[in-house]
Order: sequence, then C-alpha cells, then structure tokens
Amino acid sequence: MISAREWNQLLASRRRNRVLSLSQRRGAAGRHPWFTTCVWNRDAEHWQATIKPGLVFNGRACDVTFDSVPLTDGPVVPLTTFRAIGTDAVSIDGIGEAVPEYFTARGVVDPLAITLDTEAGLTTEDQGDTSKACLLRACDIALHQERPRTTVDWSFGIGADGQFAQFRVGNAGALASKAYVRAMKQFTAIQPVDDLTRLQGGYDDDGIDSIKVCTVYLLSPAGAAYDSPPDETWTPHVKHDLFYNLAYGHTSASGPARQNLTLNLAGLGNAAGAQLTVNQLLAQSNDAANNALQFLLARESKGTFWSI
Amino acid sequence: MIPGFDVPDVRPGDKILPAWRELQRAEKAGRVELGKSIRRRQMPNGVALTCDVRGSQFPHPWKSTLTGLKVNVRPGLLDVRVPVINGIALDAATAAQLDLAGVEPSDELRSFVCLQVTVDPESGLADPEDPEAIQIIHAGDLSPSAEVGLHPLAMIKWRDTVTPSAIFQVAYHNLQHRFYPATAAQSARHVFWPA
Repeated sequence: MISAREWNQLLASRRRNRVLSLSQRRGAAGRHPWFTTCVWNRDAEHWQATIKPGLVFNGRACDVTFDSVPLTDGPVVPLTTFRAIGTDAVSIDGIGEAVPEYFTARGVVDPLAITLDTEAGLTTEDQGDTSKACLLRACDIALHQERPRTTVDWSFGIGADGQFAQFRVGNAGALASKAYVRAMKQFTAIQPVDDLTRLQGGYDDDGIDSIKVCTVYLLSPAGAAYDSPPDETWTPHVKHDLFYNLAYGHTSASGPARQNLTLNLAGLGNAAGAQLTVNQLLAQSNDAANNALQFLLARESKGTFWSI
Repeated sequence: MIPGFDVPDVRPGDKILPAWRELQRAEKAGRVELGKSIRRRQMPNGVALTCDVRGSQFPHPWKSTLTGLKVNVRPGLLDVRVPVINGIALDAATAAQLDLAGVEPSDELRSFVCLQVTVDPESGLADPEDPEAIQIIHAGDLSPSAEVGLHPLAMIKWRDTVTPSAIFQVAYHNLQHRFYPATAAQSARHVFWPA
C-alpha cells in the first residue's frame, strides 16, 4: 500500500531533482568552421545536425546554404538515412565498410562475413557472441558547388579531300552562385574517367564539385536489436574532414576562344594492306585522338576547392 | 518543448491506479534534453553525460572580434610584416580598432575585414618604407584591382545597413602574398596562401 504522504514526497523529489536540459557554458569559441554537432529532435523523432558556418569564396559569393538558408542563420540538417557498419552489417567476399578502430574499442564488432566459393558454396564466418555488441550507423554531410557542365559532341562528314571529324567541347547548365551542404547515406567521390570515355562523351558531367564535410556516426547502447533505427539512446560521434574556410575556382566556362576542332581522318576507314601503310594510318589516328584529348583538357570545366 | 510534470497531488482515499498511470506518463516524458556538444551514453544502470566544461580558446592570428561598430584584430603577419589599421600597427601597445562606419555592406548584408596589399606594378612588391602598403580595411565587397590585392580575414553579417549582427572568422594563419602581373592570357592576380 502506498500512503498519500509517500506519494507526495516522491512527487516533490521528482520536481526538485529532474533534469530538464543540459547546456554547454563555454568551449564553442575554439571550434573550427564546419564543426558539426548532433542532437535528437524529440518532436520529429530523428537526429539532426548543426554546422558551424564555413565559407566558400568562389568569386561571386561566400555564404554556404542548406535548403537555401545560409549556414550563418543556423539551419538544422535532418539526418534521416544511415548506412550500417559492423555488427549488423554484411561483408561479402571482404567487400564492406570496415569498423573504425575507435568504435571497435567501444563494442562494435566486425560485420557478418559471407564468402562465395564455387566449390564450398556460401560460407559465413562466426561473429561470436554479439548479445552485448553495439550497433553502428553512419551518414555523410557533403559540400557541393555547381559549375557549368562539360559537353562533348562529335560530328563526321566528307570534305573535298577526305573524311573529317568535328569535335566540339561546350559548357552547359546554370551556375549556382552559392555552395550548399547536403546530408546523404554515403558520400562517393567522383571517380576519374579514362581518356577514351571522356573523348567519346560517354560520361555524364553533372557539373557539381563536391567535398566531404564530415561523417556522423551513431553508436547504439550495448545489446541493441539488429536493424533497429537510431533513437535518442544512441550516441553521436562526428569525424570531420574539413577544418578551414575554402576558396573554389573552376576553369573558365568560355575557355580558349576556339571550341571546335576539325580532324582530318582521310583514309582511316580503309586501314588495310601493307604493314607500313597500316602503321602510318594508326599513327595518324593516334595523333588525331591525342589532339582531340588535348583540346578537351584545355576546355573542359574543372573545379577545385582549397583552404584559405 | 518539454512536457510539464503535471501529476496532481493526491489525498487519502483517492484511487491509486489513475494517479500511478499519470506518474508513469510523466516519468516517461521527463527525459533528459541534450544541448550542443553533450554526449549521452546509455549505461545499464542509467545514463552518463559528458560535456566540455572548459573553454577551448584558439588565439590564432587575425582573430577578429566585433564590438558595436568596431572590430579588434589580433596581430598576424603577411610576408613577415605586421599590417596597420589607420596607421597603427596591430601589435602596437595601444590596440588599433577598425571602424565599420562609413562603408555599407553588400546587397546581401555582408561586408569583410580585409587585408589590403598595394604593390608596385613593376616590381610586384609592397613598398617596405610605406607602412600602409599592407593594411587592414573594411570593404563591402572583394572586387580586386590590378595593384591592390584583398584577402578576407573575417566576414561581417549585418542586421540592416547600419547594424552589424555577427562576425565569422575567415583566416586562421599568417599569410604570404605574391603578385602576378597581367599577361596576354590572364589579368593581374594577387595570390595569398597560409604561411
């Protein structure tokens, strides 16, 4: 039986001692640009990030925005999609994101390793006792700056003295004046494209240069159920990749005045006969390809970030 | 919003179950609300909270602080020279202050505390005898000119055209500077980089 006096004492104690919030009194002054902090949004029930404003000087503006709101106005970046790392993730034939050592020391174990073998079939490696293991989720925040896209166009024709190819390098697309940040499941740096593919125009230049700001990791309490989404009981950890303000520049959209290159391909369609003739035609073909590549490299739109 | 702890007191003879459920609801809602940079680690017997209690200061070169319409700038070096503000060196005994009055911010209500370098177009060097060849100024934009190079040290955000509201540090290091004269292919350039 609970007496009314005991009940009221409990309530009085709760009123005196409950913690409403905790705030940092000092310490923010020494933080670098792009310093990211994460808090749990109780109303929306998801994690969100706040980024200390960093600037990107691109010759037109220096503010960086999120959803068109300058970082200097303190927008919050919702973190809603995560990738799993370690304990409840799967690594197939050794392919998968490794668990950072920092989190191994905090109870995250290696992912379930699956090996595909033609003879032995599908084998899985024992993870050991994972009942007390922690789960790990991560997402990335990246900075993007738009620039004109590079377009490549070939046209062929027959001239008065043989076959010609016209190679045109152009720029297209609007230019966003301000850089902006986005949160994503996983940031992927743009992979270099080989020269032949570039020449053929067989890749899509999206006209955006990107650089990773940070990775947000969320660590679960020990023994969390597999595949559970991050909630307020998880602990955020941020690994920063940017520490200073940036400048950005891209090669001129107009570039060198001439945007068309005409190549004489006379005879290349009939490369047969004596070896000497074949070698001569191949050399002519290589020259033409090299000329086109140099022409492209001098005119394509490329952007670079550097710290200031 | 943190839900209130609005469990009513009870009197002898009141039914315990409704009050007990109310207490359970309030207890569930009265969770710890975390502020910035505070880490929560759920332990089997409770929750551990970690936060920075000591301020971490970074007294770097060019550190700029805004007070009203004045900006104080910590000393920094450009090509091993100490710049001046209105003729007073940054490392002088009496700290020089940059007055923001007189220069309007840009249309986006931004302006800059800038390092300004004036060079001789022939030699490409700042005059070592002229203390104002390297000085700190307040500029509404960063438009370059042939002989004068500008490098932002801090950006000022304005509430309106007469009231600055916040300052954001841009430069954190001592700097070096080179001037590249104009050529047929390119206009004159001033290049700054951290030393």
